[in-house]
Amino acid sequence: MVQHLDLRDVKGNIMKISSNIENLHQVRDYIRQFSASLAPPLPDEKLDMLELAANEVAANIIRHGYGDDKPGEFKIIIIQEATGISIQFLDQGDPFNRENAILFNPEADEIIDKTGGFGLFIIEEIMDKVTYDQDDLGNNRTQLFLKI
Amino acid sequence: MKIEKTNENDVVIIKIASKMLDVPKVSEFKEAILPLVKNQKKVLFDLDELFFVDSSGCGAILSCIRQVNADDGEIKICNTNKRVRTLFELIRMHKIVDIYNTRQEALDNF
Repeated sequence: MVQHLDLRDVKGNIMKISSNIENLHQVRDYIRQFSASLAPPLPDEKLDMLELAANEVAANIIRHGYGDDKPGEFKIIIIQEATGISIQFLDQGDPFNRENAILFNPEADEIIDKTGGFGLFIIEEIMDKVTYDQDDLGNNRTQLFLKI
Repeated sequence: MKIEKTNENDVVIIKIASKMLDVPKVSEFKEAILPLVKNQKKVLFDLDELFFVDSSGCGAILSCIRQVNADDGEIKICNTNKRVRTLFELIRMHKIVDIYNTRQEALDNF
């Protein structure tokens, strides 16, 4: 089960990042650094999935949550849980409405015709659990969970 | 973004000599690559040095595939690492473009 945490109680694995798309690689670096701190580190395949999903979530927050005209920052919290890794993203950009999102459907859509829209599909395909809501402090919260 | 373009027989080989193809790199990639593939009949993308691609990077590669297709050309990909290959298969890119383990294998199949 994914824990819902008050940031004030969490120590250590929190990264704050400004919503500049050039910072996107920092999100991936953070995931890798976290993995390297574990004993043993995450298996490569799992790490790759976490890194990619985190990259996609962060890119969406930066581009769609904030955008060029409303810069801000967001937080990433990584937690090693008993059965897997949880990553929380907390931002104060425009909220994401999952119900209105159009997911790429590989069974129905012709990929050659697609100009985008893969990110959400990728996130939800490679993570074991993905939730979108708001925390008690009014932050938009995206949570990823991957079983390890 | 570093791009290396060579020709072998009548195949234009484009090597993406960059580790990342993510959101910040996509515009630069398209500006560099699309002119190189336009009107080409045989194009091979060598992704040997590419360590990470995200969804936007996939979209950029797709735009190149569309360009080559529109010009009645043929495009193939080679030398993807395991994670890039996994992503391509996840979004079914392997259904529209042949992906080979080695450059020679790709060249032999044009």
